[in-house]
Amino acid sequence: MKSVLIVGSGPSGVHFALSVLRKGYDVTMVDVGYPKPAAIEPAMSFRALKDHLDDPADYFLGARFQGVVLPHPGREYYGLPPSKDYVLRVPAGTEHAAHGFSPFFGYARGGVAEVWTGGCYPFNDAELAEFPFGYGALGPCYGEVARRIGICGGEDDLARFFPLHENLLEPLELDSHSALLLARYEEKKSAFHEELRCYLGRTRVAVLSREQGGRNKCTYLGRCLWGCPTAAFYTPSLTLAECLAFPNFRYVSGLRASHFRLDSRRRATHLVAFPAEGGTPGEFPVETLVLAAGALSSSRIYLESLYRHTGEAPELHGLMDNRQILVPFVNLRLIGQAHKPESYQYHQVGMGIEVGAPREYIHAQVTTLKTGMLHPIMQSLPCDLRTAAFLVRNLHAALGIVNVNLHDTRRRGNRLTLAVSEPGAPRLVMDYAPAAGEEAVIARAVRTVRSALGKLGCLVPPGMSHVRPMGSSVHYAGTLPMSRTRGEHTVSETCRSHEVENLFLVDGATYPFLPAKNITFTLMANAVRVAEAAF
Amino acid sequence: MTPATAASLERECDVFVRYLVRVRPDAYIQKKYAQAHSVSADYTANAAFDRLLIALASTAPLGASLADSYASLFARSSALRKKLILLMAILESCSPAHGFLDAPDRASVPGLCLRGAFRGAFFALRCLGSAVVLLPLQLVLGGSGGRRK
Repeated sequence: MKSVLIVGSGPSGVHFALSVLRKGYDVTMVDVGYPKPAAIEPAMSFRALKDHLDDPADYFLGARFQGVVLPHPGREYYGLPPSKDYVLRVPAGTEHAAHGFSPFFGYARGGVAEVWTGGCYPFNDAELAEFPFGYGALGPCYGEVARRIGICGGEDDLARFFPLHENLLEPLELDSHSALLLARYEEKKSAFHEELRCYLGRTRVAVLSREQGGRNKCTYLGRCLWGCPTAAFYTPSLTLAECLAFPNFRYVSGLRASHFRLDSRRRATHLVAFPAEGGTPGEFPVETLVLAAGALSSSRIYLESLYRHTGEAPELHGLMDNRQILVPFVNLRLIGQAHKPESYQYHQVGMGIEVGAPREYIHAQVTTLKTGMLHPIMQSLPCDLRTAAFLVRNLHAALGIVNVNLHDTRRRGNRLTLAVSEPGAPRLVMDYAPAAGEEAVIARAVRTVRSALGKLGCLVPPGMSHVRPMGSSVHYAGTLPMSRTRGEHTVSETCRSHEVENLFLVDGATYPFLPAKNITFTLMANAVRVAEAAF
Repeated sequence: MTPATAASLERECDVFVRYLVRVRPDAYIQKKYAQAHSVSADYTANAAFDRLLIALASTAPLGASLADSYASLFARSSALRKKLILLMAILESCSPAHGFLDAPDRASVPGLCLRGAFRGAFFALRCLGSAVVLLPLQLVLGGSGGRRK
């Protein structure tokens, strides 16, 4: 039986694994894999947790009160809640340095997508122009992934940006705020299209609107931000659990892959992995090696392997990420109304803005804030906390935030390399500089979003829009791109390395272009495509 | 934690919660407030002006109101603000039975606007009044986390 060694249990790794397991391959997956703790009181709603838990502050703020957001100049309003702290754990030997980039590394079982917000947006032909294949090759894989994970969505004005694929489930029930926004959009549609080139519709989200594959449908407990307790919301650890049911699957957790050894013909022979908390490394023999640890970690393994083989540390150019801008708003029609926490909590409304060429499309997700903590907003207001509490209490139902995403391109100089001159393990070094003219693009995007919100009856408080640091979106890509021709540090159409014959990369490292959309759905679909095309 | 520190935190918590939500804190809120101080150094006042702000705020809800109004503009990272934010976070994590009202006020939108305008005006007055006394003291004593950023 042919064997495959996979590094990483994120969206790419688990969907690649599931595909090749079904083809009969013998699969070993090496992963740090910090596990998710069991859900607390899975049948309770968000409100019921506050009423019935013995120590609700411990759940919502954490044992060390790490969930309290104190004033701090660069700190964002919201981080991960304490219930998702396991995603922040970092193993030994992963030191790095970054310039112009704020990277986030996740080592959880299921990868960083354990804390994603579920947006599933297929790339279209314009966005795939630099890929060595078009939507025709990827479309069926989107359909297959949708069948596996469950994606809600429908055909509306956003379909002009997101191709329709198979196996979409009916949309979730809209929360009342989102419903109001879409109703207002319907009334003013022509002004949106003609004046702003802006389109609204339902976002496509990886959550079940009906029971599927032994998973329950969403019951609107309102606990999405704190970790769905019913598995209605998809995360890759669910697919990992599916893989574990195969007798030909071996999952080895607690190990951080460091590098692979190469023979004289530049074939990978062994994968070297260290215990996550440090110690003596172990080795795994390689027949075919598949890196799916995320663009940064896979690139690091690749760089360290070449460095150990040649004595020289190469540079990987073209690092990409989506710039994100957060635009908070107040819906004037909902001031003084009660908010309803028993609803789906992530984005339900999406916004697409046409600018320039089709691939430069700006993508935005609208989240109506219902169960997020309020003290981070209160502490940011320029008034005493009692007055702030009055304001937030009466504005709660009216609050929302638009997360605007911009595309990125591969540029020389935005690079990864290793610092090898220091003692100890080589350190990953990241350098990133935004594209020239980015400030103007951001300003224009914010202006358009503000105008669109104005037409929807919403007010954007002045001075509160926030440009997130590069690296915050965790949509890393571009360091080992797919290429039709054999270039240095590139991979083929089927994501096989042009440098190492038995090495495949199936994560975001292989993207030659990064559209403004969340990449996770395409990571899964591309992994399925590679498994089908090359195995 | 010494008995004196525990008593001081208990008093702080009592006054601050009465200031923030106009009810007395129950044993659970008191326990969580003390616990946060025992596990994090964020809430320790190291600068002289920080200690002064806390002392003023701990006297009574009116003192807390004046000190918080001042700190909201001129000492946003002070230990007092951190303590008040901590209490807000604890209160909103718990059942309404613990005192935090998550529901909107019962009033029409014009009524809310009127209340908001009154609150804004009183806030401005409190800032003005407290700044007359506290701003020179802050300049002399220094510290306390600085102005709004």
